[in-house]
Amino acid sequence: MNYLSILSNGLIIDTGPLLLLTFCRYNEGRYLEKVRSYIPKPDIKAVSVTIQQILSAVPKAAVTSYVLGEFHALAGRELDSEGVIGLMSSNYEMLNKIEEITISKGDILRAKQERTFHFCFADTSLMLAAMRTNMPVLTIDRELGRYCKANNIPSLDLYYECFVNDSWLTFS
Amino acid sequence: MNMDGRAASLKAREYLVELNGSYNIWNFQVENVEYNEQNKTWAVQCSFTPNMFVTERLKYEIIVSDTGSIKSAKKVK
Repeated sequence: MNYLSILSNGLIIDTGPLLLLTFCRYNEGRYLEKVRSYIPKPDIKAVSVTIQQILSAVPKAAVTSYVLGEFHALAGRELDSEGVIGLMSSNYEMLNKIEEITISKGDILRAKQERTFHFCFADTSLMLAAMRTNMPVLTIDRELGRYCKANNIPSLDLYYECFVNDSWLTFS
Repeated sequence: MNMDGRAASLKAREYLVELNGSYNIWNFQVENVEYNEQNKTWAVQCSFTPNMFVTERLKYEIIVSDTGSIKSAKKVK
């Protein structure tokens, strides 16, 4: 798995991969297809397993509080309150192990004003965290991924770089 | 369901290698993968350079059936 070399310092996880990861571990993945993403339906399960493999291989995974807030809000849109409680409790240990990177509201507002105005608070916090730590953002948001690549912000597209394209990276 | 997006992408690459020869496919990259549930086909948009000295990428869209056969291939650019 070539992309793992990029992850030698660890990774910062975006909302989409976090939803796939937690939904996969909850209730045997019964609600996994509720996670809205561009990933083709037949691949959702395998991609969720890939995230688990990545997480077990990296020295550190981190998140920002804005991503956690977005994650909880989106989980609550797809599950009832009992479901959200179940999701959280079945992922408690894993979520507890993920480190938190603190990005101040002021830093985000400044960054948004200077260049990333159209990105939400969560996305902007991820970009600032990646620039600060040099850990890549693991995302399934293609717009965020493209912006990061164009601006030399470390990032990895979970589906295209870690799943689909990974099979032949060594040959080309 | 027989194939996932990765397997369909591999089939697309194999097809292009058959068509062009393995020495004429450099920096192969899958750019978009979509599954059509109605037709049970994968649409794989991919690109590559024909040799290591050019930067302009050739783009193809290959339709791969759920069972792994190539349904169509067209050069997009």
